Amino acid sequence: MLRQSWLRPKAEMLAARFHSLRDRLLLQVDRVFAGPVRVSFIKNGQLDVDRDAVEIEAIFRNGNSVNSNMTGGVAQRWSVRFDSAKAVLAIDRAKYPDIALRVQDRVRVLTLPGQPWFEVLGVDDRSHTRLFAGLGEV
Amino acid sequence: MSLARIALRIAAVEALRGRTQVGDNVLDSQIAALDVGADGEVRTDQEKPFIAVYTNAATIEGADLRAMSENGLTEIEFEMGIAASMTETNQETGESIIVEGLPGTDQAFEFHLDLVARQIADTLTDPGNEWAEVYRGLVAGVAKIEHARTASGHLGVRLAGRQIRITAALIDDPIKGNELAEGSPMAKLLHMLEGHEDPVRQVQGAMMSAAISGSNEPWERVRRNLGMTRDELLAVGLGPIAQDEDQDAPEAAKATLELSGAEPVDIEKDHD
Repeated sequence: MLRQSWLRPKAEMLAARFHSLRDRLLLQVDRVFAGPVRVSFIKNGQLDVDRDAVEIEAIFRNGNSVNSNMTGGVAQRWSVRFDSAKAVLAIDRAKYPDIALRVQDRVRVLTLPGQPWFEVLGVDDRSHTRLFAGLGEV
Repeated sequence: MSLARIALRIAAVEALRGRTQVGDNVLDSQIAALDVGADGEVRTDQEKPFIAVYTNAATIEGADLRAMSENGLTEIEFEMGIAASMTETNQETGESIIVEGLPGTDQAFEFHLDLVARQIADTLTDPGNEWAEVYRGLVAGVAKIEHARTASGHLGVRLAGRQIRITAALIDDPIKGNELAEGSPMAKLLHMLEGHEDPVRQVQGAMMSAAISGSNEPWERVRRNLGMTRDELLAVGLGPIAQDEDQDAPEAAKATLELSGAEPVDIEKDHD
């Protein structure tokens, strides 16, 4: 019955016809643009003992710096200002099918000066291309 | 003009330094954006949780004549903030803490901010804190206190802030040329600035002293206090003689006393 299939604990992902083409494309893109990052898994602010840190290759991109106050905007009431930039990590899921990111997890970009840590502020795991994580400065 | 606002910010910043969770990172009227460097191992004091002190708008209603010395109701702002980038991050594991044993989570940010807000209140009312005593002397009374909070996590850093906005009546600015009363909050502040270890504070003190330096004749004082015109001063009978165009108030050397039915008598200053 259809209803039963909905209740299956974890349904096997089906393949779409474009998947093989996508995987080949991402493989080639990552060969050029991906770099090593270290992912550290955090739960309640502390290392998650159930998930060991991993080093993977992924694409990291940092946006232009934005000047805002603590509201994230320009509300007159708040005076102290910050410079910060949105950053994104894009992971090829065909290469790393088992990696799952959660908000709070930490990513160290090993190819940047100072090898800064970032934290995962949001995860987009519904994209048909990659696993995307929005990153914040740490 | 407001020396009282300057004095208030200096007193507040000095009072709060080292007395709260943010240590010495108490900022006066911070304008430039706070930017935390990428290298987590070399963090400066400015890259840590902070308090920033501002004096914002002020309103004076019903000032005496043209007086400009009143400070009226002034908004004093204490803005506190903490960002994920301002915590201490273990460079091996990526874990962050605010202080040992307190991970840099959202709820810990809020905990930190409320604790700092409480410490600000405690410091400004601390009987043993001399800078806070100056602050209290400058604030004649509090009309309103507002607390606000904000947070954001979508612009490349997770941060939270809290604000205490005190609308308070500040004491009037000292009038230029009038001697400061000994023990007054302003006199106390200038004395403390003079002996301050930071040369910038010494310069600020000297510049503030210069702004109120000089000496006033009694009638000049009245004019300065109220922004009075020459004619107004004459009309209330406090001015020097009407013919004295320059109002330079030379020392009296000779006067003639005329009484009806008697010969005029010259009175001269005794020059011995």
